[in-house]
Amino acid sequence: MTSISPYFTNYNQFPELIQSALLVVGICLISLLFMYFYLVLKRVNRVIRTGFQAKWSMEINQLLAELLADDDLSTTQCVEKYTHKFKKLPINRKAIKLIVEAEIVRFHQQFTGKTAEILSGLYVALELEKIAYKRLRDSNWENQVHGIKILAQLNIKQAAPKLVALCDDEISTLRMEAQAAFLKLSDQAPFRFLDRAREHILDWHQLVLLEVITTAQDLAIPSFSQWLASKNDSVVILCLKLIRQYQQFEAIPNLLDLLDHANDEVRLLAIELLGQFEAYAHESELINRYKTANKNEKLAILHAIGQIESGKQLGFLQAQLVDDSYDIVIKALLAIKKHGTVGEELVKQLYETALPKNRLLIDHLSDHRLIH
Amino acid sequence: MIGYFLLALLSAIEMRNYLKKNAMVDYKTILVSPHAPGVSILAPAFNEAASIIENVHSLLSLHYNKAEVIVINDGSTDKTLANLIAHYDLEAVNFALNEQLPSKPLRGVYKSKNPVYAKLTVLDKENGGKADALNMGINISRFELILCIDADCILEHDAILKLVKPFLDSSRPVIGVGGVVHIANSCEVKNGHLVKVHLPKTFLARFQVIEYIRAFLMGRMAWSRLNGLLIISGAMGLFDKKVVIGCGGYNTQTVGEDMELVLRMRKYMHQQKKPYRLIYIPDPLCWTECPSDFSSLTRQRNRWTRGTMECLALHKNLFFNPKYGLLGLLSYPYWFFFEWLAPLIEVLGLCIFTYMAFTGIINWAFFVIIIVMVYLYTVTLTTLTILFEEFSYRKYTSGSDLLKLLGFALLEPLVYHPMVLYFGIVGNIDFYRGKKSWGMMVRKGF
Repeated sequence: MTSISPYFTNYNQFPELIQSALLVVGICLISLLFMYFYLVLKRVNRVIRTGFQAKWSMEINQLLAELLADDDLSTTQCVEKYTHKFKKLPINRKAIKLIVEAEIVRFHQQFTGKTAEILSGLYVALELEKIAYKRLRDSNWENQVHGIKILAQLNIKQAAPKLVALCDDEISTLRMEAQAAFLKLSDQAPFRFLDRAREHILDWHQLVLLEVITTAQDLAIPSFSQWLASKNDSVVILCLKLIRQYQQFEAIPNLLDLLDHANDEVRLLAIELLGQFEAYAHESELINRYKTANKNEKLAILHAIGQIESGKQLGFLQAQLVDDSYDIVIKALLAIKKHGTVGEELVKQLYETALPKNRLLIDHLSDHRLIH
Repeated sequence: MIGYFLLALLSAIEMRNYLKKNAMVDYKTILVSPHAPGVSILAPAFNEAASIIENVHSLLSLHYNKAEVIVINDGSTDKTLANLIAHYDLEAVNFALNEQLPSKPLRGVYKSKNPVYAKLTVLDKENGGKADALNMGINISRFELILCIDADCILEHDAILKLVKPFLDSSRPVIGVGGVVHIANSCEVKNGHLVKVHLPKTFLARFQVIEYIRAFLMGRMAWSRLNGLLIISGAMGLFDKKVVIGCGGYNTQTVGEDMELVLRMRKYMHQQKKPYRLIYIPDPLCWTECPSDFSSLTRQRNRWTRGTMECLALHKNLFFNPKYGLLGLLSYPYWFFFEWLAPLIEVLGLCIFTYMAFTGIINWAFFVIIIVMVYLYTVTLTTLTILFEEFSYRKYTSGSDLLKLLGFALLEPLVYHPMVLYFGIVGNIDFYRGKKSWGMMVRKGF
């Protein structure tokens, strides 16, 4: 101690640089001690918490397993019986209440039908939804998301009105989760967010929304072509994907309008859909666009013509085989091949007269393992 | 010192945001969606007959629906290809190659007769090095995203799902994503999968664990926050194929091909005047064996130093070039001064110090203060990154591993840092001597 005491007693006499260095030394020492202490505390805390959680989870799991086996009772009777049993647990303690909530949610994720209904009923009967509602009012958006996810998972329909404001939130993750939950829980205008969306709906959000929409039970599917004129391109893209999902053929006239859309992705999706819907009557419109189209559009048009499979455009497809682009030639050949036996015959003829380069392409395409 | 403090701060913000945003993400959404982007996994292999079957098995079992695995046999002289053909029931197919990137000649493309392995494609080509093999893999690949990996790395099951998400979840186009690479020495590995994480048994490997945690959780996360990343580790990186092809693919003339590709991709995007992002995520997704003996480590670090210098030399027009924004004004100069020049400046400082010590013009009391400050500052930053790891993924679960990590953080500046300095100097000398070799690492197994 005596060897370092001069550093303290003579501190003011040191040059400024050395004073600063001593200050940094002090800060580092305090920070290190704090971090060591914190790491130890965190580990100890984790061990205690894990033990506590394991003990109560086991007890709660046993009750829930009992509930699953009790299949003679009606949903209401079962909820009543087990509410009574769960209330014997010290669920007024917040930590235990949270474990009960987590276990009910975990079980709910694995069941559908009556069991899922009972678990949701039990959740409400134990007034656990109050925790979720409290989370919705939290100032941290991640807690709000947590609340939304639980309400959506347990299908608490009464929560829908509380989600309306969050569907327009400026934090994109929160907004998306609220929209997804609203779709699932609301019986009235679940797609209202498509009218109101001003922000770009990210690809990730589209994936989540598509999954919710396609897996939700009892969701009334509207005609998505009503949003194809939206000024928000991402809404148009999402709706095009939904039109494809639900095979809404009545959207074909709207798809034709979208061929002139300013957004590349919208135009490509519109072409793809025309092909997928085998829009025979509009094949010539696609051909007319081909010359002025960019490469991606050309590929999409060739693919669409292959899908439409009218047989009228084989000459056009054959003409594309002299293109310099590998992708174009491959797509044109594939489109020809898709024309059933006529196409297969034509490919055989082409093989006889083709240059070695194109012969290899035809060989490539005749191996189903390489076709994409 | 202020710079490192800022990096730590930015890293903490970035990690916190990432963990908040992704804490409750259900990655199954990407797994099951037909709208998810396709991923081509490119794994170059050179003389890896002993482990190739297990490695490919591990790649084929990654959780991702729309994926293909392309193994590129880069002219191996052992039984790498023969083992693959025999085990996966492969046969040669007529593949029409679309040569978008130059590469050494292709000898053959193989597909399995067994539909179970429909996702697997094996290429056989003349030896041209890792970069050349990856270029050939890109030519063959069919999906829009390419995952470039080292065949001997172990990827977490959900690695692709986590790497793909930033591509879908950003308002600006993402051109590349990297994840944290961890050290797999002494870890338990079964059938190509990581079963249990342990701290390595050797001292050298333990120092590298600390070094990797600090580099990834502090350095790269901070640069990701700034959108100033100059490197995505060659061990694992997911890229936008169009941009990779647009900028000319991997450069086969450098040993720092991973950094060079990122630099060129960034320059390409600037030249195209397109907004973009390069992202690092803190998830520990890739496990690799690090050198556990001094000579292997010397060769690896020597290559890294030469790779850095080659990349900096190849792209010297970026140096304080405002045309390239943050890339030219901050990222490149940082690498120039802190990654290349730092060891040289440090050695110069040591020489000056020795001279001053001999001439008796050193105030030893002040010297002690400065040395203690530098030492404690380094240890504090390292401990902070260990704290980051503990807060986020806590891969080292045992208390004794944590204690060892903290202990090695205390030793690192005294024992390991001088080695790093030595590697840096030798790498510099070899760069000026024109050394180009890759330098083999003796793999001892996990």
